[in-house]
Amino acid sequence: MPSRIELLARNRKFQVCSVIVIIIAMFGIVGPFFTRDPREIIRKEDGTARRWEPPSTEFLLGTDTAGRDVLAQVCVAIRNSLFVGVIAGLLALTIGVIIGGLLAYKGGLVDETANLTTNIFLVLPQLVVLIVIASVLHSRSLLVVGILIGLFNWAWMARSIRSQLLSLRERNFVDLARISGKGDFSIVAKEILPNMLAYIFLCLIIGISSAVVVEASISMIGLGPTTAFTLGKMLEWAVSWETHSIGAWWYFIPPGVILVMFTGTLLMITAVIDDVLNPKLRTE
Amino acid sequence: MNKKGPIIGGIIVGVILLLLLPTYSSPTTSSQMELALFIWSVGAMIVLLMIFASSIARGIKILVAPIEKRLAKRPFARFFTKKILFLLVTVFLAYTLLFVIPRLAPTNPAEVAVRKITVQPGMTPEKVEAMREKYYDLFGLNKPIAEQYYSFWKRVLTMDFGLSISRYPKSVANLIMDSLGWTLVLVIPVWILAFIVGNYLGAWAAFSKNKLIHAYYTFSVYLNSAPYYWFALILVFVFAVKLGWFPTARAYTPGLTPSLSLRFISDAAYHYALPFLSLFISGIGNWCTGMRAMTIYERQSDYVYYARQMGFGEGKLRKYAQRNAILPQVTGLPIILSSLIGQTMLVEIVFGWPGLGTLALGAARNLDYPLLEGLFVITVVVVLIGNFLMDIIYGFIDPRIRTGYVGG
Repeated sequence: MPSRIELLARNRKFQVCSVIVIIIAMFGIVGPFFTRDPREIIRKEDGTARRWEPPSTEFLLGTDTAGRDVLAQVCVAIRNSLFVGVIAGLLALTIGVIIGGLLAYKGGLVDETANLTTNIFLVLPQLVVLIVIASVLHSRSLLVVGILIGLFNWAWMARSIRSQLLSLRERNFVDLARISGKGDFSIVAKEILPNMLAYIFLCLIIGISSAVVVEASISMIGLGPTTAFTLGKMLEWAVSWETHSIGAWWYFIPPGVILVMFTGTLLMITAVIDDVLNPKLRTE
Repeated sequence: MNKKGPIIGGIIVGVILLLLLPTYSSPTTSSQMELALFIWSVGAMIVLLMIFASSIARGIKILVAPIEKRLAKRPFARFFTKKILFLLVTVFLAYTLLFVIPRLAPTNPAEVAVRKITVQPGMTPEKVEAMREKYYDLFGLNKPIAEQYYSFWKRVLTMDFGLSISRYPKSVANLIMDSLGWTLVLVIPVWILAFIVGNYLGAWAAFSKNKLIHAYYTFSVYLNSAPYYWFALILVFVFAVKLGWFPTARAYTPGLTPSLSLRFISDAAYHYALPFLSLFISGIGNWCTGMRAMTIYERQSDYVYYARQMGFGEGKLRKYAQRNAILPQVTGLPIILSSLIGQTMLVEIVFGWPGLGTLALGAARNLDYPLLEGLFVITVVVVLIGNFLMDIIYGFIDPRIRTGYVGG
């Protein structure tokens, strides 16, 4: 019986998806070292900016309205979007594990309250809440945006972790730990959570990919990070400069394609992990 | 061991509150000091609650017991009461959040708004001063916090948010009522149609070996993971700008006035096509993945196996599996509604559609706080009522829920 990791590594779909995600992440992590400064305005000999130049060998993705290199912007944007995604994903996971894991294990009134809180956060229209919060903050750094998104993106995690935990709670090894006198916290942390690590990892992946999309959404209303380039900010500018009407496809297609490829592939990875680790689906 | 838990929890909350205190030690206005006190008293209440959690729980049980007894024989009434209570608590907490957030912000919201106005051309110091007074009045920052909270609820309950700042002198209520219809015209058909088509496709993908269906399945899963407005951009670029088949923006040709004439309706339908398609095609993917996984899961369950042994036809088996697989999907409908409203608002911006999204954009850009407040209140109400209705309908569909056989 091969281990779970081996099973995954042998899966062709998993290999392809991981390679795509790694390539995109590399663009963000390593890319900015090789491209120009994304804020540098490229000028012709007479000093005027080279605005809206289509892709060429010199500028692989052309230039924008101010004559800046789009490829350089995309690379920095990937890096910043990833940063926001990771911050938001980790924060959401922490809240989700505490509320859906620890408090749910406690049971009784504590669990009722935690569950009520989860349900409330689940139905609140996230975008509208974020708009209200973001609009009262005068300047928003990448970190602040990440934290804001994380604070309002944990409810579905808490709910799915809770349902997993409730089924694990009835197992014999948990009973055994309880009889041997372990406290609630150490049972959850040492007995239950390690048994759902794969599941928690899935939650983190989905959390990161959804945070990247939420960032793109609040940026669209003009409430993303105030100064940094992100994929969402690029799309916001694409709309406000009406790039689709003037035909500057090289400005709005690349950020979107990267968003779709990144988040879609992450979702595919979660589906593959689910397929491989869930025996009921595996027999298919 | 069990008795120590709540006390330790209470102490932890107390320490966290203590750590939060420095944030409020240098208030810019006296009302922020009051808010600090307010938060502290709430914190103290939480500490007390945690310490006395078990006895409070017992007390609530004794209080609720007679009502429970009455409702026990009428499971549907019990279910209904539970859902109504949830609706009220959610509305209360959501609106309280709306009240607290701007006042919790490290910056004074009135000052932020004023600073934004100062940079506008043609602003004299007197005008800025007048605006500052107006904003302080608006947020009620020069009044005690309890009074602010009272007038906030008065505004919410009477739906009277005053006049908009960015579209002065229109009233917020009128602006929102005008836009809400335009947004719902997009949201509701997409919500229902995407559910039907998406589930159909997902169930199909679970059974079929057809390559084309699987390709479309993958396509829609990918598409759904991107913000919908990006797909809208592409549709506009291809079908409106390059091919010229559809208009690039707006809900109807400028010049026309909204009426029920044939001319207006055909014109509106022509403008409706692209926003609808971009939401609909992207929205399908929401349902495909879940439905495919659920159908595969159900197909391998014992009752299907048994029915197969009994010699039931493949079509019949499929029907049974799908009927059970669709139930959890229905629970997803309310959650999707709240995210769909968000996505629709963003797609509206691309098309300049006169709905809530375009309104929110203007409000956010100009820090039109009365308008933002109104938008929040209305969207939350729409989402929660949609949720409530879905819960009730779900109770009808699945008798296990309404009889309290399984937790709802």
